[in-house]
Amino acid sequence: MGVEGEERHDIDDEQDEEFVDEEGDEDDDAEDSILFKSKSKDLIELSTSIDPGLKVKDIGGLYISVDGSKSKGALNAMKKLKEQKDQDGLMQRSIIGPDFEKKDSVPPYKESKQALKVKRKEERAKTTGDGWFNMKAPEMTEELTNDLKVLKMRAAMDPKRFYKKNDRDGFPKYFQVGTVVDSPVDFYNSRVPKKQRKRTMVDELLADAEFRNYNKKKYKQIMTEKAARAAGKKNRKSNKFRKKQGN
Amino acid sequence: MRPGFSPRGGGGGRGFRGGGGRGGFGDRGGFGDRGGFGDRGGRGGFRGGRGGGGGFRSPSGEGGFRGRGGGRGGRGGRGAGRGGFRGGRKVTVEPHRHEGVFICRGKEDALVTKNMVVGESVYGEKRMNVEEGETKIEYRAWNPFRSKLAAAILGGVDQIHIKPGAKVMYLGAASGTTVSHVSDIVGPEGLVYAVEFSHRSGRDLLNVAKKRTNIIPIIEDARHPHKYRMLVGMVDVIFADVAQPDQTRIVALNAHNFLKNGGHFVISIKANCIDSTAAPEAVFAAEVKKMSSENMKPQEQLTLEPYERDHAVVVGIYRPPPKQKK
Repeated sequence: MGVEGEERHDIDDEQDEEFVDEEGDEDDDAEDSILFKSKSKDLIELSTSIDPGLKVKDIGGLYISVDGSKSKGALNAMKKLKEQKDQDGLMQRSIIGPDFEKKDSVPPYKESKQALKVKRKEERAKTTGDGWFNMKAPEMTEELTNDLKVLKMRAAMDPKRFYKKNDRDGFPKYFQVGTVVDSPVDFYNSRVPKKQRKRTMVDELLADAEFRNYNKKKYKQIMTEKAARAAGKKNRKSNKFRKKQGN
Repeated sequence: MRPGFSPRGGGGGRGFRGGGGRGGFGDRGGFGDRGGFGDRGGRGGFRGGRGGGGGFRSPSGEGGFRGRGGGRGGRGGRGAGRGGFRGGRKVTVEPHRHEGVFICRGKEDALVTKNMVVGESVYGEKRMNVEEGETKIEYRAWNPFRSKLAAAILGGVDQIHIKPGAKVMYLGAASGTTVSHVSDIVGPEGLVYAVEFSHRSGRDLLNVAKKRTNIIPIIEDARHPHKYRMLVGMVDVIFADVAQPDQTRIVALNAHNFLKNGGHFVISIKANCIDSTAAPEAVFAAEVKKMSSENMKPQEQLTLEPYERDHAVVVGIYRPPPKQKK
């Protein structure tokens, strides 16, 4: 009995101790719950939690769903996974990791020579450099590209004007758009009246009635030529076919 | 000829003579009593009558470029109608192969330089205005018929050696039309020593230099460099357009005094002014030979054919560094 009693006592003690412990745990939990009380779930997650890299629920559970309608979720989940991976890749380079506070000093900011070189090259490519007084490469808008196209095709604009062929394919990288300044010495015919000035070369052309007339005429001419050629081709082909059949 | 040095375009281009004369540009240099070098067209009014040819003018034959020396007097005879550069037209400006030089493209193309003095036209040339946010940039058209350097660039010279930040000595500056463009090219960090003997055109040169801080005008005889040696430091390039029989000697004298070792020279030679009886090619060859004897090694020669008659530009290096032996 005595032994049993002792044992019971022991058990009671143990129970007491365990109970006390449990109470302490619960207190901690309560404190934690107060500390981490927040609406966002992410804040509660601790940094030391193990991330398997897969969120089973997002993928759609462990079971393969045969239902066709729900299969869209998987794609989305894969995208998320990919983003996560990219982020992880970025964070690997970050010096502010979980062990950041343990370091005795902030690690120096250092970039590889290669990266610096690439950066400098990019910076240099933005302007022409000192040789041409740092002319910038403009941001290509539709208007600008259209103007450059006009310059390229200017040989077709006026039948009485002749040009050498273009010396480059593609457009110049660095350029500026300017306006010719009219000097007071110029007579009226060598300057454009203020009201007729336009913002772009294309607008200038569109305002030019003579150019539009010529353009229209030329366009029609080319189209009829094309149509005639197409018709001729058709006839020739059909003739051949017939001959072959006859043979 | 030594390897790597050959005159360009010398032979073929001479077919222009005889037939109808040079359209629009009367004969130059026949004025007689002009002091000093400046074989310029002088002031307005000297323009010859328009010849029948006219093939040398800008593609449109109107607007565009006019003869040297014509721009200052009455501006008669400007073609009516639609030139390429009417005031208010839109154009694009892009860098040229040579540093500091730009090309302006519109209905016509033109060589332009970035204007140091915004809002000022030196000899009535066209300007192009570019607004980039707050800053206003201006470009000035550079007429190859008035400037031999521009003619050389349009003729396709390989190197002009005049670039932003360079120190240039310009012999035969005349009224400062080309000098103003050279000052544009070298920019605020460069320097141009403009030497001109004639007081008359020197006056115009002074007016140009007043507004451009990087031009140092020197009204002296370039044959006596010791007279202005206290004004001039070491230079990178000598450009000479003096049109005198002893031109090469003048350039050599200045090169010995001011040009750095391995510096470059650009000389425009007018065959008529050196020997009017000999064939131009022979004159050019003789001049090139003279240069070699003065420690000036010519590297390139080209004619200015469509723009000037019987002119050549010789580009070379002064006291070239010894070749490394491998």
